[in-house]
Amino acid sequence: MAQKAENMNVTDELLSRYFSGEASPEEAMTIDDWRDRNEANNKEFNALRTAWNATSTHPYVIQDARAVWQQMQPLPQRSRPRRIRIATWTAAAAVLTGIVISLAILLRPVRQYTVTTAANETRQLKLPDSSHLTLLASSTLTYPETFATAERHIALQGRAGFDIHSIPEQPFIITVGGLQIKVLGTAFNVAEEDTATIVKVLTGKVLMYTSSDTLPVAGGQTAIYSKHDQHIRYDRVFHFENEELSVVCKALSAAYQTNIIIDHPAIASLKISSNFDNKSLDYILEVITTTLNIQYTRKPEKNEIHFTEEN
Amino acid sequence: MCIVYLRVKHFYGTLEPLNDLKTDSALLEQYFLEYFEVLHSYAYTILKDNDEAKDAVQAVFIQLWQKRESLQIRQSVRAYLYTATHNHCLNHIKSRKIRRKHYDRFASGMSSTSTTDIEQQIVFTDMKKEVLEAMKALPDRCREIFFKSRFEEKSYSEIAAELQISVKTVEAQMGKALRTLRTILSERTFSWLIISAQLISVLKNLFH
Repeated sequence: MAQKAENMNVTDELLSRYFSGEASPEEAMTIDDWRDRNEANNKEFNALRTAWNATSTHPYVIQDARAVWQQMQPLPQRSRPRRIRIATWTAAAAVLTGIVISLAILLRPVRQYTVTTAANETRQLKLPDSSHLTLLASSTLTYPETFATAERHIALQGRAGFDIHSIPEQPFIITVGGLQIKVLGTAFNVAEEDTATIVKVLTGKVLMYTSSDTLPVAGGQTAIYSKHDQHIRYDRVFHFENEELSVVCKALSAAYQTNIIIDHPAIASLKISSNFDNKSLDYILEVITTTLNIQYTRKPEKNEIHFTEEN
Repeated sequence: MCIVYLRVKHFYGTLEPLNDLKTDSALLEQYFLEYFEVLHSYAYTILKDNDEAKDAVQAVFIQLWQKRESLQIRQSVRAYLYTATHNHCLNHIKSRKIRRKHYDRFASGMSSTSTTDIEQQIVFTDMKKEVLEAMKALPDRCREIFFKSRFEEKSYSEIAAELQISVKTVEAQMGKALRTLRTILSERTFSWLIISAQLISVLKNLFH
C-alpha cells in the first residue's frame, strides 16, 4: 500500500481523489499536512504527481508565488460593504438618540445638580431617593433636585459606585458613556473609560441598554459596553481551574450567547485548566478542542456549537 | 455559510491577525506567499489548467482583500483559504460551457497548447509513448475508469452513475491506477524524460 513513509490516513485512494480534483478542502489540507510531516512524504507526493502529470496535456507546473503576487499589484480599492453603512447610520441614530435623551434630561424644568470631583477626590453622595453613591476621582454626576415619578434619571461621566434604593415601580436609570443602565435595586460599580463603559454588579440585577442593544447583568457579573462597536457584552474573563467541560460550556454559552452542547456524555467530565482574558470564542474553542483532543462543529442556523469525540 | 467543520491539529497563527488585514497589505502578502503553492496545486487538480488555477487563487485573495472589513471568518485563515479556493473552482467549472476532450489532443499529438518549441515537442512525444504503454498494463476496468476521469474529465459520481458502480469502487480503482502508473513509470526511462521536460520549463521561466 501507499506509503513506507509515515501514514496519516493518506491512502492511494485519497491521493488519487486529490489528483482527480475530488478532494474536499479538508482532505486537501490533510494531504498538505502529510507532505509537511517529512521529506519522504513530500517526495512520494511529488513522484505520484509526476506520474499523474504524465497523462495530462496540461501538466501541473509550479509557479513562482512572488511573481504571481507581483501580477496582482496594485491591489484593487476595497469595496465598502453595505453593512458598514448600516452600522454608520445606526451609530448616527444612536448618537442622535443620546443627544435627545441628554437634552430631555438636562432641559427638564426640574432643577439639576452637577457634582464634579477633582483628580484626587472621592465624594459620598445621597440622592433624593435616599440611594447612596460614591463618586470617584475626576468624575461628574448630574442629578435632579427631585426625581420624576415614572423614572429616576441621572447622568454620569467617569466612575462611581452605586447602592440603589429599590423602588420597583420607579426604575433608576443611569446615562453613561453612550448607554443606559436600568437598575432594578442593587449595588454595583460603573466606570466609563475612553473606549468602553464597564459595569460590575455586586448584588441584584441591572439592565444595560442602548437604542440597539440590551443586556441584563446580575450579581457577580461584569459587562462591558464597547464604544467602538456599540455592543454590550459580558466581560469574558475566565479562570478555569481543573473545571469539567460541562461547567465550562455553561459559562461560555452565557458569555457568548450561544448554545454549546456536548454530544457525547463521555467527554462532559473531561477537565480543563486555562485562563481566557477576553479572547474570541473561536480561539477558546480551538484551545479546548486541541487540549482535550475533541472536535467541535458549528451550527450557525441554530446558534449552536457541538462538542464531539475525535473520530 | 452552512456547517463549518473544524479539526484542529495545529495552530496556524492565531485567528486574530486577520483583523490586521484592514490596515496591512503586507500581511496579505505573507499569507499569499505561504499558501499560494498549495492552493494553486489544489485548484489545478480541480480545474486541470495552470493559468485558470492561478486566476482562481488570485481571485480568492483579491476577494479576501476587498471584503476584509465585512468578512467574518469563523475558521482559521488557512481553512478559509482552502474552502474559498474550492468554492471558486467549482463555480468556475459550472460556468465552463464545453468540456475539453483532453485525450483526443493527448493521443493525436497536440500536446500542451504552449509547447511550440521543437525540443519540448520531442520530449512530449517520447513521454506519450511511455505513458500510453504504461496504461496498457492497467486492468481493463481500471483503465476504463481512469480514462473517463483523466481524459473525459468526468467526476467520480458521473463515472459511478455511468458504469452503475459505487463511488467507492471508482475511488478504489483510481487509487490502483495511480499506484500502477507510479510503479511502472518510475521503473522506465520515464523519469529522465520528466526531468528534461521540467528542466526546459524551468529554463523557459528563467529567460522570460
